[in-house]
Amino acid sequence: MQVEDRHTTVQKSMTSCNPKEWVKLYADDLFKFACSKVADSAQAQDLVQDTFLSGLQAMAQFRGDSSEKTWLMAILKNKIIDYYRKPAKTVFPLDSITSDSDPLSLFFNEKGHWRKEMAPKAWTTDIQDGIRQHEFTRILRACMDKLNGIGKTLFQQKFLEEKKSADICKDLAITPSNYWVIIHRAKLQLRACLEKNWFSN
Amino acid sequence: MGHHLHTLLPCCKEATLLAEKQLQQPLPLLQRIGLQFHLLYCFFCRRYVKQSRIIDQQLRALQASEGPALEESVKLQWEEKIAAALKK
Ligand SMILES: [Zn+2]
Repeated sequence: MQVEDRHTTVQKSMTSCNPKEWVKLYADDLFKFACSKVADSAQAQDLVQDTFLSGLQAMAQFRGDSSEKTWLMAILKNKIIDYYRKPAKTVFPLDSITSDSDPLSLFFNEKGHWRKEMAPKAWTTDIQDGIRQHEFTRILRACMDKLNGIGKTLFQQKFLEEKKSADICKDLAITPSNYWVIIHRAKLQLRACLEKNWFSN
Repeated sequence: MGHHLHTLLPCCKEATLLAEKQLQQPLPLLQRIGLQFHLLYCFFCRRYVKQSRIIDQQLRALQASEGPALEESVKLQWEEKIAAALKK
């Protein structure tokens, strides 16, 4: 009886699961989703690869009552949750934010005023026209890549997911005040990078 | 930083933090007044607010348009891995 049971499961999964097509059909979407959740794309790649491998092992449990894609996406979501649960990953290097040396001292002097060389300059170039928009997007992406892990993650979750700050804080285990400190610093860095590479010429 | 936030007379460092908050949510009254007052006399921070808003818009547009692309070589690797696992 047990043998028969197993036989039917395999039969069913053979008809509804087609792993050879997974990469072609789903890799891009899974990767895009993973990128929206974790800071660097290498990490996102690892998560997607793990998803496929776990999917292969769990194929027998695939019942076909959700689509193959939904099923793989569910596996990926669990991988992402696990990723953030790992203690080493949940603890972000917050000490670099709360440490004695103020990372904002690059931008502001002891009195909290803009340093002359870092004060915002007038942005004279119009981004709105097509070619320039394209070029601007390229620079924006390059500047985003230069941000440290946590700042980039916050930006991605905030803008791509349109996630509420309270949810982001909960997921990443950070306090609201840390959230603002990170956003503030990341925005200052991003703004300076854009100005240096784009607007000043 | 929060512990020495002078609500009514924020410095540029504090004003830009308040501005970031305000881009996302309404500020409590005193902080709002403090920020507005600072912006009255500080044109660097006025500029910052304007530019920061543009950056937010551009980030939204960027994220909506595309994510980083997956390289073909990576996909090929995965296909091979899956094929190998299926043979087992
Ligand atoms: Zn100011």
